[in-house]
Amino acid sequence: MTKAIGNDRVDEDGPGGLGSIIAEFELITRRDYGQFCAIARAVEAIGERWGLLIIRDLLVSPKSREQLRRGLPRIPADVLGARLREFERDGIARQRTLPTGEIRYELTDFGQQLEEIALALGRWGAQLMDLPRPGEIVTVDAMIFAMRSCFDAEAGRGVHASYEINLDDLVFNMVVDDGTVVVEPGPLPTADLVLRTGPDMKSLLFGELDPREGIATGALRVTGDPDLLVLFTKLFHMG
Amino acid sequence: MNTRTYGQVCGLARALELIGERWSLLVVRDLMLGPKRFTDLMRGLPKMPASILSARLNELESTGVVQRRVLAELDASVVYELTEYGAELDQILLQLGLWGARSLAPNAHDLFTMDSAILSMYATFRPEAALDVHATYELRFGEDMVVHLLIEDGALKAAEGSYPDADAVIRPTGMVMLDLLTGQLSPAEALATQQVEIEGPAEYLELFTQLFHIPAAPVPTEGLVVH
Repeated sequence: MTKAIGNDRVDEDGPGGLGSIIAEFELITRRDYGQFCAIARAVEAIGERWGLLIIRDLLVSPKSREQLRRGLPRIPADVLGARLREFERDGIARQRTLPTGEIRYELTDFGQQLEEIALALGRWGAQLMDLPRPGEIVTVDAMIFAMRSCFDAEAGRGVHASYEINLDDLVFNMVVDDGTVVVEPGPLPTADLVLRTGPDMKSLLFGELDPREGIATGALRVTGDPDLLVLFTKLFHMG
Repeated sequence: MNTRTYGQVCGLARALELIGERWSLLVVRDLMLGPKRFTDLMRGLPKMPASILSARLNELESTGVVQRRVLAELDASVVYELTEYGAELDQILLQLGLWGARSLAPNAHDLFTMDSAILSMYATFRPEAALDVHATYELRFGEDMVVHLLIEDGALKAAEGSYPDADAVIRPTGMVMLDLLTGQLSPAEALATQQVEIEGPAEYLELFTQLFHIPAAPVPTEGLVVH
């Protein structure tokens, strides 16, 4: 299998450092599975460490390398660089230069087609979701992705409702429009219901916390009709 | 927090912690079609060192994706199988295969296994094209690699072995099956150039390409898009 090596683009982290040598080595020696199998090919393309989390964040929106790093603070810079180069080589992501000269990474149509797969895998992994482990972070992209993955299109049929969620200091909003949902970062001044909460969000999504009880105990603070929160648990639920 | 965790509260990150290690998904792939012994798994994944296979099986077992079972036979052999939770990955893996098939080109020394032959039929099957279709096929990739397909009104059953009295027996040469499924090669051309041989009515090859299909990779769009 020929590999695209000797990339002449200078890494913004600076070439020649130990980290970038390791990342380059990893790229060159990346094992293929030696199988004429489409599943193996797919895993070769996106199954390397951190790969699908980069794709998750690019599914939410195109991003600069710095924005990607902010959303994945534990990813070594060289690994991020290696993954992005592999995605470009394999036609999954590409760079686009904005009129301002800034560079954004975005998924190609081919990469975009991973959306349903990533959402389904996210739903599968979420079933074993426990409480956040010490040191774990929640990012707004992870939440946007989670809300998209747990949206129940069937329950959303004929429903028109909008929500703003303030999860500690993460703010995002959902607009449900007859079986479809758009989830965006940031506040939504026109939202029908504003929900402010913390880790109880997990219990709410998993059906472990009754919405009315959550409001009564103050775990869930809402502005708007509480019935809309009951509707919310029907529209968005894990498992 | 160990180095294999991603430090993110995210279902996808959790999923990757369970099945994101190298080879893990291929082990799951090979268990999708039924329980296997360690040696069966080794045969399907010959490039995988036994120590890695053993480590992956232990991890998948400890996280509840795979379980081991002792067969109630005299030799009491141990088989590995997907748990109910692990089996929920099947549709995801088939979708992933269909996605990967768009960039599937054979490499030298690639191994084509029975399991991936069977799974590729499931991944590319189009139930909507099979409504009211009742057909049986035998696919002979080689003397020792024979798969049969039973299509029954929108449903597919693919399994190892021959099928006497199949409506058609298809013998593809080389990697021509891929070109047939992507539509790069028409059934008529495949027959005319003898890249495919068929025993039975030639229409069955046409039907075959309607039942099993790999959508073309999307054409890259160009032009400035500012988000």
